Amino acid sequence: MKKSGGIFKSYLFYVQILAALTVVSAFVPALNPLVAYGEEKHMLISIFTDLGGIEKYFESILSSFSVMGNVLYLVMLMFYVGFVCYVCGLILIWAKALGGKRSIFTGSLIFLMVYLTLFVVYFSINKELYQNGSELIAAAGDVWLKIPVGVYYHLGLAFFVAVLSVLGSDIDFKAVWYRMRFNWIHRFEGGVHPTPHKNTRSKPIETIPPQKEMIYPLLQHIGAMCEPCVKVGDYVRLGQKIADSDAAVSAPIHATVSGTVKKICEWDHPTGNRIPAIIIENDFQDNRAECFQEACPDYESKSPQELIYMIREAGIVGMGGAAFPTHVKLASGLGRVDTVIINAAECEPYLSSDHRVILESIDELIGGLRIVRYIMGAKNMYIGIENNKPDAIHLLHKKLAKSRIKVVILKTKYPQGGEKQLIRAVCGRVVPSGKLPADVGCLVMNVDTVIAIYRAIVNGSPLMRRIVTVAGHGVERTGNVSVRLGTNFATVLDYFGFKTATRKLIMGGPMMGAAQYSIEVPVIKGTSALLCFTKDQLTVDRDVSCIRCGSCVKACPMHLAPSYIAQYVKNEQFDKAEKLHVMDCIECGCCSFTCPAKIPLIQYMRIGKQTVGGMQRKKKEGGKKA
Amino acid sequence: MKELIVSSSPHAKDHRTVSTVMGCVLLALFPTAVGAVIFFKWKALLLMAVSIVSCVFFEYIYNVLAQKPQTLHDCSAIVTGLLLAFNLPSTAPFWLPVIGALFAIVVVKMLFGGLGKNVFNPAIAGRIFLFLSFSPLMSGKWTAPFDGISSATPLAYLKNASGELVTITDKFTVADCFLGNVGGCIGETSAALLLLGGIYLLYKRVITWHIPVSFIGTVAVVTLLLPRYGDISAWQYMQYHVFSGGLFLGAFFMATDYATSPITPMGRIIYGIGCGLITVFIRYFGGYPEGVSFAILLMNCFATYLDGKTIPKNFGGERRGIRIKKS
Repeated sequence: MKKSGGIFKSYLFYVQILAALTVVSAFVPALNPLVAYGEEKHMLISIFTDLGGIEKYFESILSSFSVMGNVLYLVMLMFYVGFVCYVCGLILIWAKALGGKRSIFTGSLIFLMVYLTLFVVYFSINKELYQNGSELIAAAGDVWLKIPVGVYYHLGLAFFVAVLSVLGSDIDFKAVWYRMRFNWIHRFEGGVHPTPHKNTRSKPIETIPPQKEMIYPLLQHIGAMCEPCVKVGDYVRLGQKIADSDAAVSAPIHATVSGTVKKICEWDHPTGNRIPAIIIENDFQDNRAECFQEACPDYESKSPQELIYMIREAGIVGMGGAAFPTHVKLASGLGRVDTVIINAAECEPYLSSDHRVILESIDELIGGLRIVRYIMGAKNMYIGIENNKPDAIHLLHKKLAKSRIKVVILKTKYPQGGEKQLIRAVCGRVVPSGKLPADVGCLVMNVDTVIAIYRAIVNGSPLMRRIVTVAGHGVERTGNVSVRLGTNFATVLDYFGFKTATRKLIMGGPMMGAAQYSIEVPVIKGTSALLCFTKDQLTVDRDVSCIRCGSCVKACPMHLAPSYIAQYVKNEQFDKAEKLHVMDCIECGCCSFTCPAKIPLIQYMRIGKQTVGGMQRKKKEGGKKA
Repeated sequence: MKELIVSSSPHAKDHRTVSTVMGCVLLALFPTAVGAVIFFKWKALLLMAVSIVSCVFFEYIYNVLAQKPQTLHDCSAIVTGLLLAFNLPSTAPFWLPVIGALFAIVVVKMLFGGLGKNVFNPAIAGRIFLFLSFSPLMSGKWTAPFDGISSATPLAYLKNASGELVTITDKFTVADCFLGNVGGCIGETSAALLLLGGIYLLYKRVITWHIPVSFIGTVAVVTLLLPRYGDISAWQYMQYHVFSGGLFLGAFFMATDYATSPITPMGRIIYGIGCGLITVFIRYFGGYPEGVSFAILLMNCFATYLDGKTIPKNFGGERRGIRIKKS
């Protein structure tokens, strides 16, 4: 066991004190529950009761040889002392091995529970007290005085251990107070605690070379599909725009290599559909395009609208995973937003790309923050980060010490990074049902998006790379990698040693990611992770019927009642599902995660959302016609 | 390479299943079971064993006869069996739990569609079925722990149903009631051991605080404010009411039964208050000294209704959360 901070902070020290105290006190008759106390001879172990105390017990069988009786008595005492020390040590070692400060509290609690049980058992098996209990107690007046001093003494010892184990552990009480305060203020209700599995967070971002044929699906974001603006046989350069759309909600797509356009055909897309894609044969020259945007380090000379246009031309979308075009978000929030929140929560298990990006590109991040603040004219700027990234928090604190940008430490909880939950946790505002964050003056943006904005405006470089976390038992080594958009999953996975034992390939985190049916799919703008799960990581459960435990109600971060909604959807009572606000569901998966009956609640929620959404659209169109 | 599996998210799930939840409940009931054996000796052990075995047996037989998939793996039959046994007096003949199990498992649980679809708590309904059908066996003879001498329950003294003109303090102290040195069903005597199990369930987050706190709290408040027994102080009177009878067993283990209680936090509080009020009314004005099981059975009827009336406000819905001022 590792000692932390001198002998006074070592829990072993306190166990030793406890052991010494118990040894000494065991020889004090009044403090030893094994020894008779007072006149009534209350024993801890009832077999001794009838014989009137341990000394008499041994006297009666070994009256001829009292030395032997004394030896046996000592052996009994040592056994008792050893038992107490063993229990104390076991609990503390167990608590320490589990790690974390909460487990030491847990250990102390169990220690107290053991003593309480002994206390109850003492009264339960003390026959004498039971048989003549009422009269004895009536005679004595107060039952509490009848408890041997030894029991009080040992209860005291238990408190002693509880207090000292807390004091002896390396708890920073300032930090505990800080966290308690933040847990109460900066929190949202609901949510779940999946196992984090963030083993890749200490692994630096690697770069992998592009492959021979790069694939660019024409839909890499939420919104309208792009139209190709190159033809088969054209020579394209690095960073050249190859597809664009006139629609408002859309983002252009750029070539991430130089080479010739081989063909434009349908290709497998990570969402599971087949979508038109441009395929470029790489010449490995990386000839930069002349039409790279003009770099603009003194961004304050331009108007916000011009900067937003530059962001659009760079094809930037939200890098958190949903891939909503950033320029649309910025433009819709202009003039309305007074608070910008940077989402560095990264609450999904396994994912560590945002964490690495903060550590490795902190200067670009801070530059990007200033640009976003200039564009939005925001008064407040927060970075929301979960407390499981202490090195990133430390770095941000150091770099932003004199800045007005505040770092808000959030509890590790899923879905802390959900837009509405993050706003609630960071600045206490509640986005009304069916409204957007801009309606309460907030704008939420991912860390990686901010860095992409910095690169687009200061370096003039369009969005061409994506940080991807590769993890799971299906790859030989795990890590974070910077991938050019358009690279196949197969190329990325082979770089990490893809095993054929993989049974499930997930794009994104395990809570909201999409399972893939093929590895011949390109990395797109929203690919935050590739998780290869083998058989042992799969959860194959038989679902039983709902036992109405209410776990889903407790876990839902949107405060819905998933089990009832699922039942209504099952029975096709969509009007009732609508009344229970099924449209507010953010599809975070908390209900499915927590359900002990393993009901796929989230699928029912999705069906409900689609059907109710269709009904609402129809109603709206009908209203317009009339 | 074999084919990849495609399924809907989330791809990670909690380890908690119905079986582990029931396992937690069994573990929480373990101290009480040990206490029952210490208090009432082998009779308690026999009753518990017969009850559990017959519950499991009837569920198995029902599934076989109805040609349904076996549901024994969820362990709920064991919990029902143990709770049913806890509701029997130590003098009950060994065939009594068999009949109780038949009613509880087949009629109350399986005919309604199995675990989660039953309207009434099987153990409670089984107990009340036995109570009404075999009254003399279920409530005629109570024995005190250890010596088997017949004795009345504290609640009977409180109600003065025994006909003797003795005050309760002559018979039992509050500590007797708390620790379990009183007459009663095998599992309900020791409030202390039940409390230990209840704290374990709360700690493991198997149950929430809402039902136990509102149930016991209501009983405590009503008996403290409106005592019906002149000889002892209201404070003592309240303690006797809270620690005796099946209140702790009911509040921690039977009223919190998932299938038959509301799932919303507000609904659970109302449900607990309702249980508490009915319990006190039956103890005060009813024909029986004890009313916990009737109270829970009655409130079971309202569980889904309470759910419908107390659906939580959605995030960002009307009248909830912090309204912000536009500056």
